[in-house]
Amino acid sequence: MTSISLKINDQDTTAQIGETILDVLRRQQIETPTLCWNEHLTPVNACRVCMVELKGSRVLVPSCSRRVEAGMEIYTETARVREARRTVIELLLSTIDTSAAADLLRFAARYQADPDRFAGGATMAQPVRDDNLLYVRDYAKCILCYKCVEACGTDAQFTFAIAVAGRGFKAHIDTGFDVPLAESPCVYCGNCIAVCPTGALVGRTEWQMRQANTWHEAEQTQTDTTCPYCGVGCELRLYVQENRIVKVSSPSSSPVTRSFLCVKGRFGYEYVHSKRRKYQVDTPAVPTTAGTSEAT
Amino acid sequence: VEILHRVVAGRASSADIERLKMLGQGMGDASICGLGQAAAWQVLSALEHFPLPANPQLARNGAQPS
Repeated sequence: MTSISLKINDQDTTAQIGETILDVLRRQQIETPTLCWNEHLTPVNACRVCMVELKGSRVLVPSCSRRVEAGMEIYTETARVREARRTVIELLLSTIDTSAAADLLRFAARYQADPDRFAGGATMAQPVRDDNLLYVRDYAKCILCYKCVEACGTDAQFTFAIAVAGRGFKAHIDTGFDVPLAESPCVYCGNCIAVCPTGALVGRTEWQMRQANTWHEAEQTQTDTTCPYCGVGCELRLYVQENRIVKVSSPSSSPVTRSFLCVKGRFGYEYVHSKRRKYQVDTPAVPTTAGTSEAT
Repeated sequence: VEILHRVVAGRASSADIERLKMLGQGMGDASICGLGQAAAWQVLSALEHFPLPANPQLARNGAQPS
């Protein structure tokens, strides 16, 4: 690795050749908004909120994909950067349902985005697609960040069930001729759900709880464990609310999964709460030499 | 486009014009390709060279100067 020198907000710093500007910003804990970026996916440069000013460049550059070069002078909070980020966020606020997009709303507050500036025009409002037992697609919340397409394709799953179809305002995520998921190549790994930044794709449990207004993220605890199914031993993160598993993901830092799972690991948790199990979760039992006794 | 329709119809407010300028600036700075970067130039230069009070279409329709 070769070290190079550059300046960020007038501070001298060093970086390794091959790193992106965002890599350096994140290491320096300079908070940079991102929507379409994920550390395990190839940058697609779609969302335009990570833009930074680069001295000598005619336009702003996307920090998620621009690689560092020696002598770069980068500015992350100039009026031009803030204005560009704010415009993008305001356009998103005016066209999509942001009710489950916590990150976007956080960025909106940070850049004082006014949701009414571009309001009143066409929106992405459309019926919810609820055509399978495991997850729900609410494309009124979709910002076309391409993450689900990438996770379904060459960045993780190699299933290629979905792609972006259409142009301009009619661009949308499509299974191919808009067939229901069951007729598509989808294998229900749910990796698209894991990477979705706006809650357009959600597991059925979360969807139902959100509809019933019983989804309370603040009350949920997280438990990291190992997937009980096959021998790979994927790391699971269980989200538990009122002693029930309500969602499963895998930590981004896991060397085994890099946050990706299969259908069993992500959705195969209902059995934990089955009333037909010998050992109920609510009253854990432990085997002893004298037989089985209730745990205390 | 919806704002432009309002401009042509003479129903554009000064806030609309500010929005147009801001949008054009944002597109020019943040678009992924040259087409997007340049797409707003015509509107921005029209606003620059034919500011509102002098713009016959707008003046005729009674739009407020920005």
